[in-house]
Amino acid sequence: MNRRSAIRLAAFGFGAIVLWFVPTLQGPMGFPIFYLLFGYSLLFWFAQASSWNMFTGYSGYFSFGQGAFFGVGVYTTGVLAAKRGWPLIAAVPVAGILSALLGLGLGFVVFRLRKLQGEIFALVTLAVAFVVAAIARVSSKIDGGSGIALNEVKLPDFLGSFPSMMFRLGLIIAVLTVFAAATIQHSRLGWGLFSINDDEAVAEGLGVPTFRHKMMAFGISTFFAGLSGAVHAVQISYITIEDVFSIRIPLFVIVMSVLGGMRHWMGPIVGATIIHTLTDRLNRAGDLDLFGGNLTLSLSHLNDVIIGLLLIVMVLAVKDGLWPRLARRRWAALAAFVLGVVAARIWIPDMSPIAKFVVGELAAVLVLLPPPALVSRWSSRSGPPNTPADQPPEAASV
Amino acid sequence: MLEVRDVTAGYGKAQALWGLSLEVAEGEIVTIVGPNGAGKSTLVNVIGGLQAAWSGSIVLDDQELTGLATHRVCASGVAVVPEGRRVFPEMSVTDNLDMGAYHREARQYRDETYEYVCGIFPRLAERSEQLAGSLSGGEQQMLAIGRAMMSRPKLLLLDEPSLGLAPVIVETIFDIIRDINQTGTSILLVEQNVVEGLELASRGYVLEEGRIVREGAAADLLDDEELQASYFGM
Repeated sequence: MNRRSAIRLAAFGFGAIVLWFVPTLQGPMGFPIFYLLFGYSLLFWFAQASSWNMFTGYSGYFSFGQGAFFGVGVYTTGVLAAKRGWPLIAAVPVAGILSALLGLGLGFVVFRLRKLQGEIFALVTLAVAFVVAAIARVSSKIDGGSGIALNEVKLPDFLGSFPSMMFRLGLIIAVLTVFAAATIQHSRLGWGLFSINDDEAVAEGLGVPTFRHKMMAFGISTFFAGLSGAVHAVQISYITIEDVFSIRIPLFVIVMSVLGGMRHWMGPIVGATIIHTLTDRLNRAGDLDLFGGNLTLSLSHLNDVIIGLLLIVMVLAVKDGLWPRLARRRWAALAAFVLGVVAARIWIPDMSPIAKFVVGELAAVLVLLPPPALVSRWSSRSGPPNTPADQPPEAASV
Repeated sequence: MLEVRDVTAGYGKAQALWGLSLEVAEGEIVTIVGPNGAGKSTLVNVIGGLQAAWSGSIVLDDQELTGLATHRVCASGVAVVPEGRRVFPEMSVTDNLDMGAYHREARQYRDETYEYVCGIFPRLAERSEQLAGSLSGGEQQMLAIGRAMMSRPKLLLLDEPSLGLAPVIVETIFDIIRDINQTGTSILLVEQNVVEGLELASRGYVLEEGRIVREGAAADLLDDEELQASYFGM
């Protein structure tokens, strides 16, 4: 292990330990229990988006099948823990393994193809969610169409009350997933995946075992998707096919990763934070009366519209996602964030902390929107030497 | 060192190579010339392991390459500089070069080889942090060659390195290919640029419609009147 990965491991460990004691502080500090559940949801999205991105973001093979792997996780808990009486923590690893087996099975078939691999992979992952959902629906041993209630599941009580336990389970899985994503990114596997993303044939020619790399990464990715789904089953508490296999999971992990940036493990985390806080506030915002009550906008119904618009704007304006820009302009973004929070506090003093956070993060995003070329023109420093002075006349080379 | 025997290959039902044989001796530069669609790129892909041969054999230093997985062909000492350069545009120059030293044998010598490559291409060293996609065409060609050299190949396969480059840059690139050869790497060059390509080589082959139609010392091929008429437009 080199020094950088040792520092990263220490930082991860430290962060995880600090967060672990957040539920303990809930009583003494007196903050509402809601924040623990909110924290769990955020950690859940960290895990889901990171698990998706560690394969698709790095390798460029677009998967629409996150819902299937999440669903396998959810239904493993449903069947093993709710129907057969397994303790939750015994069902969770099994869920991860089953999900990974499904992923590896798919990969084994598709990654052997020579041509149109990427396109076929996207279509197959899109189809697999429907197939898994259909199997779950017809099989009475799984769901049978009636849904499964999870209120009898044996929960790990030693982790505290229900909200504390969820927070801690979510934390464990998010930390493991994000750590895996960061480790892959900085390993030979990650290196190989990025080269596959850029030009697979050339990567192969340079000695990258592309089949093996894609199998490994997809296996790990789907393993964590299943783990996270297995824990989430308890949070949903009553699972139905329609809910579990809805478009929500695959759509959100894609939006989050695209927004945050797909070539770095921090991308999905940034994206998940923005999307989750924003949708949470929009869902709770209720109705907005305009023109003296003549026009009523339901913000919670506009949720999906806003997410869709955000995706369009981000794809057009910030092609590589926010993280690379955030890394370069972190002080400007931090300043904008603080200004936003302070302004929100002055404007509406009794605004909830999450809403203030949303105002702050939107201010930070605004600072990141102008393209880098524009920013380097503004700043007094001369821009990076991006334009070669000796550009030969090469009209034919395109 | 490289022996290609009776190789046939193609795409689907379309056959591109019809029983092709050639060889490259240790330390030699061999150039293959031929018109568009003669099967030059197919030949490069087959030798580099990117495409499977239908029949025939390819042997490098007594090691059979036919049927090996692509990444194993690279590890056994063949490096390809693909047509159109194809650097990894989203990676920095250094990361591109590191990708060349991906397989285990090359990785052990990574620092040493990196020094060597920066020695041949000082321009790349100057731009080490820049994204490869933002380099000029000539620089990208240098990077593609540098990246291939990072794998410490015994045989360097170059597919149309002069494609789309200004004549003055082509001259630089060809000088560098000669330098690389003098440090001990054998070179198989596939070129449409017949005169420059053959001037660089000791021997040459003429490829037409998937078959070798002429072979011989490069100087003889350059003097050949028939070839001059059909290729050099003299």
